[in-house]
Amino acid sequence: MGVDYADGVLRVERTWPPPGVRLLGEVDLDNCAHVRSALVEQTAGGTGDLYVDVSSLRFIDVAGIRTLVEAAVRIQPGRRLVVHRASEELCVLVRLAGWDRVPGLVLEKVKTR
Amino acid sequence: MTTATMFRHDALLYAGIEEFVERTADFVRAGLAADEAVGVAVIEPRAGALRDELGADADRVAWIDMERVGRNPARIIPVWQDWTERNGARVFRGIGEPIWAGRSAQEIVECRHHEALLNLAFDDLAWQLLCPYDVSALDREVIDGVRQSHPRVLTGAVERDGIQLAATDFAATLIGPELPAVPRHADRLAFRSGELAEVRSLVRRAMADASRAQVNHAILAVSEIAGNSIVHGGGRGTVAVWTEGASFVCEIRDAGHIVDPLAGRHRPTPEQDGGRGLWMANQICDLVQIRSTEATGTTVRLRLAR
Repeated sequence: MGVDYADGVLRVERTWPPPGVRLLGEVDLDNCAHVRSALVEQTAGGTGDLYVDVSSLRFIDVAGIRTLVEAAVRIQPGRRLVVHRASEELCVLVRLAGWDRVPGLVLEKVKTR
Repeated sequence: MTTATMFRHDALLYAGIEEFVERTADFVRAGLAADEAVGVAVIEPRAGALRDELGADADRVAWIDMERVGRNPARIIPVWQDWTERNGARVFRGIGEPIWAGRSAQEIVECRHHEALLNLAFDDLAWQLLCPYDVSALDREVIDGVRQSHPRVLTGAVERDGIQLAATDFAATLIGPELPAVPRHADRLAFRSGELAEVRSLVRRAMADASRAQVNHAILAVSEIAGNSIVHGGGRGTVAVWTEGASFVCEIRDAGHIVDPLAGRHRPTPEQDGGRGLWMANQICDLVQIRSTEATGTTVRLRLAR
């Protein structure tokens, strides 16, 4: 595991194996470029599905979700971007934003209770 | 009643639930008889009363929960749009009740704006929409305002032409009536690119006693609108937050200009790049008020229950 980016708001870690990215804190328009570059590098550097662990994500805005959607759309056929441990709230946001049926994007809901 | 060939937007002035049921049930049955798609978006107890009157015919009507959808009137047009799209090339007939007794003054301002925008949004569609207004429960001033957004007003048993307006007269703008002043005790912050986290901190502080879910809703809506200021509003803006009774209110101002009067009312497509900020705010908030001109820039005021 390596720290890809960290400031007081967002921390991006690369995870392996399987190839992925762990997001901690808050993702927004201001900092989503750091998420994008980590996703691009982890996609290029591995095979199989790419995992994004959002269990320690406190906040993500539409620009942040768009970053995940774009990475999912760009990933090679047969591979998927799996958003791991997504809160119910995040699933609702993705649906509201009209991105709940993007090919290659999978939201795995966190198990509650 | 005849089948519509273009958008026909009538107000129905009625007094009391009995007259409501009688008039709207006739309207619905005429539509069903002509094999039109019929949708009803009214609140209780009127929805239940009309459903009872229609009996088995009620199952052939699309019922829209106006209390939930219409809480923020900016959510109504996209729901009607979804409904018309689902029904393809049929002729449409709807009953929509955006204004009911108990709405606040600012809600009524935005409901009127919604009524005017309907003419713009459905200009080319073959459907007749009937908007019931209860003269026995609503203020005189509200009833007077009905004529400004409806080309025809039906009163009592008499079906007569109201003020006839050309479609272009309805061209809605985002100039709108002036918003009440921001209270002096509001917390304010100027922000620019790179400072969205500070905007969110301000909201968290202002909503310290609210539930986690409500705080998350508020920070998302505020963050989206502030993000718009950064992308479209000259790269900076100001935000003011305050509480007003049971509501949390936030106002974001910037130098941008929103041209599309239906901004925030188009359901986003997956491929669409931008244009989700106002949509998300509308879905999340109880009221969103947009005022935008080239000279004064854009003001967006958001209101959520705490």
